[in-house]
Parts: sequence; C-alpha cells; structure tokens
Amino acid sequence: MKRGAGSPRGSWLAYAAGFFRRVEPAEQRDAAGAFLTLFGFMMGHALLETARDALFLARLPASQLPWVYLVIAVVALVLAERQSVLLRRFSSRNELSGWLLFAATGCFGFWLVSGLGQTWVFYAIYVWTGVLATLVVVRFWTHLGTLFTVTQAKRVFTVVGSGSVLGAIAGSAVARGLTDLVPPRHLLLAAAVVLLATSPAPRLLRRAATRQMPIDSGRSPLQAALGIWGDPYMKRIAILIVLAAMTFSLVDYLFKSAADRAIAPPDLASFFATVYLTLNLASLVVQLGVVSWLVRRFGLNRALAFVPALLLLGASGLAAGGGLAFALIMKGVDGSLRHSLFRTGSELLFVAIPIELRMRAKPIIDMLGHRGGQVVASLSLLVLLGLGAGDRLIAVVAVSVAALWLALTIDLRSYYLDVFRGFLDADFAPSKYDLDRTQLANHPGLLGALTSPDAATAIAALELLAETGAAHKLGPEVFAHSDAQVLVKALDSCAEAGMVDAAAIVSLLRRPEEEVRVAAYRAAFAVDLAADAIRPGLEDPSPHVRSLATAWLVSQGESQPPAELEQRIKGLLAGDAPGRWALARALREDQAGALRDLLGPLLDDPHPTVRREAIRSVSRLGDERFSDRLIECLAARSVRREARAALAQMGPAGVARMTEMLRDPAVPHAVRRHLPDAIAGCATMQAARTLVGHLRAERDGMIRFKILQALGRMRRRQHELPLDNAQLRLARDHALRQGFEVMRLRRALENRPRPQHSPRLPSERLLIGLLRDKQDHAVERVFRLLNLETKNDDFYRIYKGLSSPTPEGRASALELLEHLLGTAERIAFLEVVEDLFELDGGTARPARPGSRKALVDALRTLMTGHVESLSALAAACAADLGLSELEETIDAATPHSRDAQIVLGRAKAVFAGEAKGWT
Amino acid sequence: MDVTRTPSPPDAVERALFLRRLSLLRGFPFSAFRALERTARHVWLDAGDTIDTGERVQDEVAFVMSGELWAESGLRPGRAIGAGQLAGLTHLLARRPALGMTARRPTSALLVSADDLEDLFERHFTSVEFMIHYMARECLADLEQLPDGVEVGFGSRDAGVPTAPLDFVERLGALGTSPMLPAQSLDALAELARHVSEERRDADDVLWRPGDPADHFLLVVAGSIRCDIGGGRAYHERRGATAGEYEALSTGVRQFGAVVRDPVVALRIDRELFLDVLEDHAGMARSFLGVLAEERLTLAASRG
Repeated sequence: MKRGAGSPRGSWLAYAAGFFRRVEPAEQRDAAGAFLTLFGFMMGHALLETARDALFLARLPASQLPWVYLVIAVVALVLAERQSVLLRRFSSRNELSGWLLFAATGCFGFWLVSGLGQTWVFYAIYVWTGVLATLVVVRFWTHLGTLFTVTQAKRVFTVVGSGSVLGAIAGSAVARGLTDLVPPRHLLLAAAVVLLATSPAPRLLRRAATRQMPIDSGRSPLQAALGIWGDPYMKRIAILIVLAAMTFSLVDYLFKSAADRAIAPPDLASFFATVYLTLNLASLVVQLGVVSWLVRRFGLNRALAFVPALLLLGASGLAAGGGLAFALIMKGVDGSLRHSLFRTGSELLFVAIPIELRMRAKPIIDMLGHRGGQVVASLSLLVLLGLGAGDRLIAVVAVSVAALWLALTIDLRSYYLDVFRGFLDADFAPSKYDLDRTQLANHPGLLGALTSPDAATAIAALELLAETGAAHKLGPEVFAHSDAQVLVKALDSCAEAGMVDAAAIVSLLRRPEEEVRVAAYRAAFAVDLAADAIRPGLEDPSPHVRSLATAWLVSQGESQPPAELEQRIKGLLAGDAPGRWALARALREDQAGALRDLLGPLLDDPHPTVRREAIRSVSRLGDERFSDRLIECLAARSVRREARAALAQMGPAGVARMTEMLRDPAVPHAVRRHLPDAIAGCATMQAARTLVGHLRAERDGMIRFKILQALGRMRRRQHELPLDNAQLRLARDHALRQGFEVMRLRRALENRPRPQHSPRLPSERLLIGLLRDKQDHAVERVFRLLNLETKNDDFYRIYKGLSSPTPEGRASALELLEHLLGTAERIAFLEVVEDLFELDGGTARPARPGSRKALVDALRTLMTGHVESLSALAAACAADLGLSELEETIDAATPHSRDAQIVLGRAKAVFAGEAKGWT
Repeated sequence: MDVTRTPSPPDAVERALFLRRLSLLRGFPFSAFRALERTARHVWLDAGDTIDTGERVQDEVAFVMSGELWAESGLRPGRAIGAGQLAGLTHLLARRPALGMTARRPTSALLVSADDLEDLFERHFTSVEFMIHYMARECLADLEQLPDGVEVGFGSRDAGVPTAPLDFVERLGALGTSPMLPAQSLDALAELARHVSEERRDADDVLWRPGDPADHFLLVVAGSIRCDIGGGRAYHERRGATAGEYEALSTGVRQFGAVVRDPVVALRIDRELFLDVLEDHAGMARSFLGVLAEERLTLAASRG
C-alpha cells in the first residue's frame, strides 16, 4: 500500500513525515537534489525580490514598472535563445550550477554598485531579478521533467515544489529580520551568499536521459514556435501560459501601485518583507496540504482552474472599487498559488508530452509564454497609463484576461487526455490491408483462386469465400475441379449456405470417390431434387451414402408403407454416426411434425456432429418444446455454438425462458454460466434489459463477469444499443465496493504479524492469491461497466495500458483513468487499481505489520461470506495458524457445498488435535 | 530488421490465401483469422538478411511465403524453414531468447508480432484453442521423433501418498503447484479444483490404450505413470506432471498407452471443463500456451 493507510497522523511532524514519504527510495536522490536547489534559489530570490521592490518603489513611481517588465521579457528571450549553446556543452544540471554561481556573482556586483544611488542601478536590479528567475526556474523544471513519469511527477513534484515555498519563506523571513537592522541594499549581499551556497546542489540530480537532445534541433526560435503552434495541445499550453503571465503581471502592477499609493517610502521594505513572508507561509500551507489533494480530488485540469477563477474574483472586486485590501487579496492568491498550484500543475501539463518533444518545446513555450505574456501585459499597461487609465480600468482588463485563461484551462482537458490516448493508441492503428467482407468476396484474385489447380489454394479460397457469406458466387467450374477435397469443400460450403446448383449435385452423386458422394448426398438436402436422382443411393456400396439416401427419402415423405418407413428410421437410429447425422438432417424437413419427437434422442447423441445437426434442425423448425433441451446443450462445449444460435432463433419466448433459468440458482452452474451469452445472442432490447437487470442480483462472480462480457459483445455489434446507465452505475458501485473490500481483506492477511523470514503457509499463500484474483476481477468488472456506460473503448485501452511493460504506458493509462473517472469514485478506485497493478513508483515499500485482530476479523469475514472457495480456504488458514478465536466461527459456519463441509470438518479436527493441518 | 527491397508485396487476398493454407490456421474462425491477417507485416529479405539477432526475446513469428529462412537457436541444430512453414512461434510462446533467422535466398515472409498475437488471443479465445490444439499435436509429433530407447521424465519425486481423499484445499494446492498449470490465476484453479475428480490406481493398472477416446487428462499428485511410445521409448509422469493432455487437447484419440508404475493418486481433468476454464481466464490460457511451448522445447532438447 502506498498511500492513505499507515500514514502517521496527529502532529505536524508526523504529517510532514507522511508528506515526504511520497518519494520512493529510488527517487530520493533526485528529489533531494531538486528540493535543495529550489529551496536555495527561492530563498535567494525572496531576498532579492524584497530588496528590488523596496529599492525601486522608494525612488521611482509604480508607473515605471511596465517598462521594466518589458525589458525583463526581452532580455530573457535573448538569453534563452543562447541557452541551446550552453546545453550542447553541459548537461542541464551543470548548467544549473553555473547559473547559480553567475547569479551569486551578479548579486554581489549589484550590492557593490547599489550604494552609488544611481537610478539605472535600480532598473538593472529589477531586470536582473526577473531574468534570473525565468531562466533558472525554466531550466530547473525542464531537467526535472526528464527524470520522472507523470505518475511519479504527481507525487514528487509536490514535494519538490514545497522546497520552492519553504525557500521563499526562509528568504522573506530573513529579509523581514534584516530590514529592521540594515538598509535594504544589504539584502543583495545576503542573496549572493545564499545562491553561492546553493550552487553545488544540482549535482545531486541524475543526468537527463536525453541530454544530447538540442533544445531547438538546429531550428530557429521562430521555426520552433511555428512547430509548437501546429500541435493543438502545445499551442493551448503556450496560450495558457501567455494568459497566466499577463494576469500575473497585471496583478503585480495593481498590487504595487496600490502599495505605492498607500505606504510611505521608508516603510516599503518592511511592508514588502511582511507581505511576502505572509504570502509564502500561505503558499506553504497550500503546497503541503492543498495542491496534492486538489489534483487528486478534481484532476489536474479542474485543479488548475482554481487559480484563474480566484484571480478573476479578486480582480472583479478591485474593478468594483476595492482598494489596497482587494489588491492584497489578489496578490494573496497570486503569491500563495502561483508557485504552488499553478507551477506544479503547469509542469504536470508538460510531463504529458513525449520526452523528446517536451525537451524541444518546453523551454520555448516557457520563455515565449512567460515573457511574451509579460511583454503584452507591459505594453497594455503602457498604453492604458498613457491614456490616463486608473487602476479600476486596469483591473477590468485583468478580469477579461483571467476569464480567457479560465476558459482555456477548461478547454485544455480534452486535448490533455488525447495526448495520453495517443500513448495507448499505438496498438489500435488500422491496417492498410483491412478489406471488408464485401471487398474480399468480390476480389478477382479470390474468385480466380477458386479454380486454381493447386488444391490447397482452391480450398483456402473456398473457405474464405464461404466465411465472407458469398458461397453463392461459386460457379459450376468449381464443381468440375479434379481434386476430391476441393469438391467436398465446395459441396459443404454450398450446402451450409443453402445455395447449391442441383445440376452440379446430380453430376457428383456418382463420383467414384466415396467422400465426394457423401458430400453430394449431404448437399442434396439443401436442394429440390427428384427422388429418382437419390434412390440409386440406397444401393450404393458406401453405408454412409445409403444412410444419407434413406434419410433424404424419409425427409421427402416418400410414399411408402409406414412399417417400412419405421424400419428405415430405426435402422438409421441404430446405425453409425453418419446415418444418425442424416436422420437429424432429414428431420429438418419434417414440417408436418410427425417425426419430430425423434429429435429428442438425437439431441443427446454421443457424437457431437449428430447433436449439432439435431440442434440445427430444432432451430429451423422453431419448435419451442425443445427450448429447455437446447438450454441444457449449452453445458457441452462441442455443441454450444449451435445451441446458442438455435436459442437466438427462438425470439422473445426463448429469452423469457433463458431469463427464468438465469434467475434460478438451482439450474446447474455449467448451464447458467453460458446463459448470458445465449441471451445476448438474441440481440434485442429485451435481452439487454434482462442482462443489465440481473447484474446486481447475481451472486456468482463468474456469471456477473459473463453478463458483462455478453453486454460488451452486444454493444460492439450494436453501438447505439440503449442500456440502463443507472443500473450499470449501481453495478459499478457494487463492483468497486467489492474490489475495495477484497483488497482490505488481502492486506490484513499479507500484513499479518510473523517472524522475519518465516515463510507463508501454503493455505495462506493460496488464500492471498485467490483474493488478489478476486480484486483483479472486480477491477475488470468496473472497467467493463465503464466501457458500457461511456460507449467508447477508452476504458478498455486503459485496462490494457495498466499492464503495459513501459512506465510511460502505465503512467499514461493511470493519468487517463484519473481524468475520465467522476470525482466521487476516483479516490477509492485509484487506490484499488494502484494496489493491484503496483503502480505509483513501481517499487513496493515493505508493508507495515498488521495486527492479529485485523487478521482474525478478515478470516471471519471470509468464512462467513458466500464465496465457497474463500470460506474453505479461510477455515484452513485459521486452523493452520492456530487462531483459536475462530473456532466458534468454524463451528457455526454453514457450508455451502460438500467441499466446504469437508474442509470445515477437518479444520475443527485440527483445532481439536485430531487431524493434521494443510501445512 | 533490415529490409532492402520489397518487390511487389502481396495484396490482401494473396496474404489471406497464403495464411489460410497453413495447417496452423486451417479452420481458424474467420474473425480471428482476419484479425491475424490484418496485422501481419510483409518483408522481403535478400540472401543473408537477418530477422533477429538472437539477443532479444522472440517477439515475432515469421510465415515464409517464398524462399527459405535458416533458423537457429542455442537449443537445437539449425533448420531450414521453407515456403508454407513458420518459424519462431514456439520460442515466442515460451518467451525464450529470439531465434536467429537468416534468409538463405531471396525470401518473402509475413511477420506477426508478439503484441498482435497477444491481442488476438485476448479477443478471440478460439485462436487460443487452435493454438493449444496445434502445440499439443506438435508435442505428440516430437514424442514420436524421440530416438529409440530414450525415456523422458516429467514431474518431481513424491512427498508421500495421501491416504485420505483429497479435499478442496489439497486439490487446489496440487493444481497450484503443478508446473503444467500456471498458478497466477488461482481463481481459475479454484474453479478447476471444484470440478476435478480424484483417481486412485494401483501399480500396473492400464489407464488407457492407443485408440481409446481421449477426453481427459490426469494430473499426478503421487505415484508415477509410464506412457509407452514404442521402440523402447517412453515418458514418465510423476508428481505435478500431467498425463495424456496432448491427445486430449488435440486429436481426441489416445496415441500412446499409459500404465501405472507406482500406485497413483491423480486428479482427472476433463477436456471440456479445462477449455471452459481457460476461456474464462485469458491470462491462464496464455500461460498454458507458454507451458506447452516449453514442453516442446524440452522435448526438442531431449531429441538432441
């Protein structure tokens, strides 16, 4: 188990321990390196940010801010363009270390020159801070994205992201303390020290798997941008980031403008330090307690929509006339969610993209998106300020941009899911050889092969033609083939289709090869021939031919004395299998019904070919008296297909009878288990209603499974077949509850207290294995029900994808599943699925030992349940483990079968010391 | 794989006709056959071109349309695969290292990938049934080809003959520990355990003779059974091994006689029941195919 149970609770420390335990052992080094890097950088950045804002706004008006936003964007774009050169020379982690060293040096330089008091220095510090944040953070997350799958990223990124928030808190707390002691310019020196100390941290990260991949692959940024624009998913991410950057810039301006008006210059440093510290603390709470929960509860896209939605509300308040208070609220949302929910969430959007594409596209989208958005926002601000617009009008613009952002986030969902579908779709590509039946049946190559002198080719062509339902295309030239096997195949194919050329048959009735004559007489049943043509067969040297001829004459009601007819029939019944087959075939023509009772014994014939023919005759005659006999035939594999087809021909009466038997637990299991498929064969609304209606009432898991298989087949044949989704949903809830319960019971057994290295008992191993299978079946049932409800194959693909050999395949399946499930069932189902497929990190952590009470409770539940195999195994297990608490339960248990009774009796004897256990 | 040229690849009908002629696919249900045919990939190999390096797990079956492939593995001497024959199926099903397959002259072949085969098995149980039938028949043929005087043994030594009738837990345990029945689907085995019957036979009892109907096979729980192939050749089934499954799952007629050597306790598994259980448990069906393939490879190794 990886989440939920077992997490220590009750204290902050315990909570933090649980939070950091999301990282699997194999991920710890990367996660630690990432956490430290982000912590150090964000601490340095918080110090810089406080110094920057205090120094800038103390000397310059807020209306100058759009200019610096613009310069930051341009400089960052130019520098990003050069990043590919650096990447070719270093791995990303070395590049990150280099950037941190460079940042430390820069801060130190600015500290030296900031004492000069020249205006250009404050512009430069502002630009420097912004550029640094963009470049380092983008490179950091790009590198990190190459190290984890989307499933891992969802766990690890929230932990790593907390480094960002904790670093910002540490930085703003230090800034808050220092601003009381020293002038704000000395925060630059503190930032330099922190960044220098952080520079070795990226070395802890693994090298990226695709480090040789150049960011732009030799393409210009414009070409790369055009490439991104051609991909619907990446295009939307890029626009989303532009809109987000615009909104954040507008919010930042509105906040600083309000602060500039309301706070005296000497108090600005401590004001900003206090605000940033508060915001960072709020961000920490969100990062630790909210981000993961939001993503898990609502899915990535819905969780991401919270950010624009809240900013939209805040900006609306400001537009309506709110002052610094609303600006603070907006900044609060920005400060608490931008580096937690938005950053983590938008990084997860990128993880969906295949790694090679991601390596090329992400830096460009990040750079153009963030800085492009900032450029547009800055230019808008400059225009608005130039026109004399006040903060309220700017807030209206912010509302509009946030609304667009929100709409795009919602729209992005379907594209996001399509990316994962793409991973799973590789196996579903149509073949270029996909001719349909009609095309195949009319293909000149196939028709030409019918007369091929090569017998094998001609037979293959005959089979294909017959299977495409085009046996009527067989011309007389086929019956002139020299090979006996070809003739037999041609005659059988035509007879099966009921389309035989009478002249062709007559010509073959006297062939020297016995097998050809037999086939010709068999085929004769399908055509209207004169009795004179058949009668010579009564004298044929082959007993098979004689039987067939006799049966044919019987089927035609040849005028003959009743005694002779009776004798002939008796002879056929007592004769060999071909004779009985012939009789079964002949009875098909008995429309008057005088001989129909003879079909009864033929339905019990030991020879499957005879039984099959008898079933076909019953089907052709449509005699409902035989419906129970046909249903009994479902138990026999050798005739099941024919029995199903015959029952399907019975129509509503057949469905009604099968429904009665399906509902009757006294009907043998060997028959009941095949009824769902037989009912589905009727392909009617009545059949579908019967099956859906019986889903929840059925206690046998196998039969429930068969019902779902049958409904799936019906849905594939009739895509628009209406099914009662409310019933399906109830059945799904039921299956999910069962899956969860079985998982709980299995865990209680798996985690039973036992000495280290002591092997499990055989009965225990069997029980655990059986419970795992039951969990698997419950999960499969849920997937099948989801497929039926949604009428598409997404859930089938997901179920397959969860067993994919590649981590990306499994992660894609899980991600798609998370998004397609409704909110209510997501958490429980994901837990059962992740447990079953051992997903979410791939390396199972050692289970925490459970308690004896949990074990006893689980075994008691199993023993008193209605699943015979589980209750028998649970009793054996209890006896083998010597759990005396369960003696009474065993004594009181009511066995459901002879098997269970024997096992329970032996378990009692084991407790009494009178028998050996199963060890 | 290197494919240097593709002179007029076969069209859909040529592919279908070719595949339909193969004994493996004769009578294959149409939907399953079409599914297989659609996924097959045509390749043209010049003399000396190879399909696999022999380093990976076998992940393709090659159906040779014309020309000739030379197939080699570490298990047995290389052999020529001519037109109308296939190579790699047994290794693929057994998930063994790939065969080295080299064209000895210009060769045209259809390749079906392991993924496509797995998909076929999952969607069309009849294809699994056919494959089981085919592999069992091949195993019988392999037994026939054992050199004179060779005796092959399957199963392990007894841990003692149970005196009391086996209860459900013991039957499930016996089924679960048999290498012939993949134990990853205990639910399937539990279903079998509910329906199998126990047989106890004394030494020298004749279990069946050649020509008898083969509608069941036996899983040996204790004791041993000797099956005579003729020519001094025999195979012995001991604890955990199964006797008579090749005939039961293919021809339906006993090809070799079977006699009890040491008193036997066995579980009788009916063919129809077994196939029904496999049909409802796709994973077990696939694994059982793997077991049959392993048996073929073992027999091939015994043959030398």
